Amino acid sequence: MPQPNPTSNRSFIIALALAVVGLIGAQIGMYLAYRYAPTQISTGSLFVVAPDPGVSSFNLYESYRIFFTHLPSAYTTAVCCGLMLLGGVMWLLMRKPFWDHLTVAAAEVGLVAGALTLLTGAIWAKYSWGTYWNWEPRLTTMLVLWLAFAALIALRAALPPGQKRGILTAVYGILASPLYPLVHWAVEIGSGSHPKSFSYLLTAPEITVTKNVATWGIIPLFVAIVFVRLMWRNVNHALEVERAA
Amino acid sequence: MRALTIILMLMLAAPLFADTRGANLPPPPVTPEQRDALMVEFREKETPAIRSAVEAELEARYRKELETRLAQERDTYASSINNLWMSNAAVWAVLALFIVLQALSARKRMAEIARLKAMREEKPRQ
Repeated sequence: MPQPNPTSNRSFIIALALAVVGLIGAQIGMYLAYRYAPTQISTGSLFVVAPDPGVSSFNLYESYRIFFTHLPSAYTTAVCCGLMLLGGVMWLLMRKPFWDHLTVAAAEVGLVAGALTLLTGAIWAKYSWGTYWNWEPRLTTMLVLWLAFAALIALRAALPPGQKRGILTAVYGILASPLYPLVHWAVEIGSGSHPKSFSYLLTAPEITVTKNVATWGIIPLFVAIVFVRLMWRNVNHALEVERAA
Repeated sequence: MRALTIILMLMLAAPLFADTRGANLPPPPVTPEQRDALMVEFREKETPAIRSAVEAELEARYRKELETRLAQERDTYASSINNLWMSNAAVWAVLALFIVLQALSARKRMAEIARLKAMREEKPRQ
């Protein structure tokens, strides 16, 4: 598999291009989320929340807008798990630093995206369920995945550079990556609070359009961070090698 | 007066002379088995239809009222929506700035690598 040259100007241009695409996409997504998507009133919810002059509908019907950040962040953790698996397997096969750096970069971005997923989910849960957190399967497995990203970074930071660190990083990355499918399937376990599907939210075509734009804007932004972290690590490694020479 | 009292007492005691034997009652329109079957049929077929009709009507009424109220309320929280939008946009802008800074830092290191390489290549010539 060809590897991009970490010290080329092309890498620099690709990183900036991804950042620009991601930034524009994310900002359009946010504009649509707050200015274009209508207030969401899901069918069947009206009996619970019948109009009451003393209750503000703001929290009830507007809090769903956080979904347009929550969903892309969750998808990004899935992408990061895939990249971690790829990096781990390829490092074990080829023993090139590039793949080791990819595993770590994916874990770093997975940690940030996972934190955003948990945070936005907790804020939304406060409005929807009346509590920031409960130990239901989807939330618990997502927390475990987030801790796995953190553990990989901590483990790597605790080890001196070398083959042993590379092996442990790769193996840990491979073992942690199936956690995302577990998060995905967790909604099927028992009767948790987390909905099994978000289709109930898509009550208007504008909401579907906003979801798609936000998803395809925010994911490239996170992928750009993976790329730039990978580039930075590769360049740093090349610099260390050069200094040693 | 005595006769009136006797008549009144007989009238009050009338239930005592009532014919309460089950055999003398008119036959029920359905047997207990048929009644149970009809109840099951009612619960399965008619109740959901009635319920969904009532729910649809109530939902339409509530939705209309709610949308009217939301339209009135939206003006009062327009600034909150704008603040949320701005803060969300700022988060993504900071992430984009982080990418640019990392890329610039990498580029600086690229220049350092090129300088070190040039120095290394010049040494043997000297």
